[in-house]
Amino acid sequence: MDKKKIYPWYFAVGALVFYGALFVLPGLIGVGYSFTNWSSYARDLAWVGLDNFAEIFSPDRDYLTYIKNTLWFTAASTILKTVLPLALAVLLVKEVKGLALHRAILYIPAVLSVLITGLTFKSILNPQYGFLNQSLRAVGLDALAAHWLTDPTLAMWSIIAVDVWRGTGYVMTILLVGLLSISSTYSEAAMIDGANAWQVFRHITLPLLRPTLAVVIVLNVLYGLKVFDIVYVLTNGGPGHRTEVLYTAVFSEFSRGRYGVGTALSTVMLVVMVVAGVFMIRVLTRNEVQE
Amino acid sequence: MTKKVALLAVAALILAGCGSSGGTDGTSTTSDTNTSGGAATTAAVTPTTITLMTSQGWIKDSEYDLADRFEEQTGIHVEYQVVPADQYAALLTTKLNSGEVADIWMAQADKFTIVSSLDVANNAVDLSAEEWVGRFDDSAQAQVSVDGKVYGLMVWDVSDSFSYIYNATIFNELGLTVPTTFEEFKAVCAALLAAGVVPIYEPVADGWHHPLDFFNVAHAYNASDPNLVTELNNNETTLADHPIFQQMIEQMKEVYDAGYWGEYAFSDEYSGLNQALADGRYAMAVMNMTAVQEILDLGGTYSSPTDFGVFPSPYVDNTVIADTPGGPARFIYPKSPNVDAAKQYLAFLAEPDNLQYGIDQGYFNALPFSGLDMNYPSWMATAIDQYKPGTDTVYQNDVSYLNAQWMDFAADLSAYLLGDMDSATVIANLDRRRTEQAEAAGDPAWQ
Repeated sequence: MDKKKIYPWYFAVGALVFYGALFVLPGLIGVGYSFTNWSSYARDLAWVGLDNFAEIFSPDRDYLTYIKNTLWFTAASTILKTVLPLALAVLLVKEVKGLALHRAILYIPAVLSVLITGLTFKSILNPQYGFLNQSLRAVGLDALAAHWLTDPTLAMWSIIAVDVWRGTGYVMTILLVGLLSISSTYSEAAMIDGANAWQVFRHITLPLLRPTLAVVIVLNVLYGLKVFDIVYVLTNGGPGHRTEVLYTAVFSEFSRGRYGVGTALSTVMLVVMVVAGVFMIRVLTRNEVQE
Repeated sequence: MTKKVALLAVAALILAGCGSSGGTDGTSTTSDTNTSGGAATTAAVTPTTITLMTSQGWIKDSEYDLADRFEEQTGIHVEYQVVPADQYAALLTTKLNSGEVADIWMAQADKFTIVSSLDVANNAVDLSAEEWVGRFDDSAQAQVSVDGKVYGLMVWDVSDSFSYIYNATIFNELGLTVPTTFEEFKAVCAALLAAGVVPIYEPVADGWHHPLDFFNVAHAYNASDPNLVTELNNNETTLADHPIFQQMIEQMKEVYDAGYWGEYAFSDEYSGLNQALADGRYAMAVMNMTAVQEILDLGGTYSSPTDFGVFPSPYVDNTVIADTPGGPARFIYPKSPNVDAAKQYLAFLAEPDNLQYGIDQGYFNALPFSGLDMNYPSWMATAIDQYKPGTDTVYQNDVSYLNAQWMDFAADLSAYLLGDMDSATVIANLDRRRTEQAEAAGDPAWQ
């Protein structure tokens, strides 16, 4: 490596100062507050040690259920938002009629605001007047008409489905770029050697797509762990507490003026995300060749 | 060396840029001038605009008319910052804590919340010396006062209360009478359901509505123990110590499980309530007595004043419509540069003629000030006469640390109705949250 070609360290100082001041420092201050009794009720801030964390992990409280819900949402949405976009990307990487149109249609949900998506689906999924149930009833499938967002057993699945609908196009676009960067000479050579389409995908496309898949999975997992907006708009954690996730709980704590507990919850999630992020990047990129 | 000079030059430019931005800002407002001190004092400059932060639905059209008149008289424009209702409480708390609230801010006031979460002693101006305080009704005044000092102005009809509005025509057709006990209530619901009418419109989706019954049956709670409110506020007892609270929500579940809230209660919204009653699909709902007029205005199947009547929530055999002395009130932020102008506006709103204007325009039936002509519609006058003796107050206004946990209780109640939580846990959670708030606030009764 020619060290003369490496830029000097102080080129990064400006960016590091801004990043540190705007991201790292507030984060650290937040972590600090999680060890205090910060609330809208108390005028003086006092150190309470691990009390807020003890409350979060207490079996008497529901926070562990919210963490479980968050992990469940993350796992399900990550799998679906990786497999489905991958299938669509593989289909849309070929020369098909109206290729750009197909890609654009699939990408459109990603540019809509979550609020608009949420309100629209809230209307579509209304059990009485919603488009989905009305359509099912119109074709005689009354038995399939359900309380999509208010049935405790269905609500989380409905949120995941809406999230997948919204995120598929975005992930598909990233994967398309990855697929397009793979030279067709590899697959052509394999075909000449007698490989079928599945074998080409399994042994050539997938390994070469691994760095892109790593990015997609990390993005999906981190998004899932900090999900808030789509849950807030569709169910606000209900019915009851069935779809409550960690960040709706954080919002609820802040609304009640219990800022110390709220920041402690955020701190727990920060640790989970850092550990998950580092672990995934290491696992998913372990066989990559570093230039 | 050249690199170091260049870096220093860039740093100097950045610093110079930061430093000059404030000084060259030609858009500084009158408020900025007022806060700068020195020669430009508050008294010397009259602001052209004051801001008022409010939740959706708290400002009636009559007040917008009055604000226009105020501007004509004084040259001061009132800028309303209207926030969606479901976001208001959280936003207000955040703004108060960050010191970025409007000149006048509004809050759902009760004598406990203004101390515990709104901290009006520090976040609001003492208005005790204002002329209108002398005309302000005592019970409403108590909801915006701390240690004898009045901090807020409440232009709100506190004589109204949430109660059961029922379709009297449907009741008469089915030979039903107004229930006075829980058993009679269930019998009425069963008869309505058998006749193909959904008994109760309960919009659970909004989150805030379905707990109303729990707080409204204050008379039944107080009848079970006359010292209950005092003991709860002194931390001498808990809600869990009194079976009536658990019994109350168990009765609610009984009604829900029987299907008396209809199939779609969990997705029904408050905005659909008036229409549901106007076309007769539903026979009853918990709502403000004043709001019956909104049903009549829809001109549906049932649009005559005689089509509707009022009765108290009959859970745990309650027979009284409790008073609701709290309501949205206006407070002036003490660090505002426009305190005098804000006081001037509140004094203008509280002028007898201007208060009467809101009543005459039909936005209020009554207001908590002496010397005004009230204007109750027939159904409300009858209900007040029959069921509202003024002996009891809704529990969120009478028992400390309940109002602030309304939405948490609502979520717990939903979980209980769905079978995800038991009734004892719902009540225990109410006690736990009261303790958390009281301890955080340093309430002497919890020390």
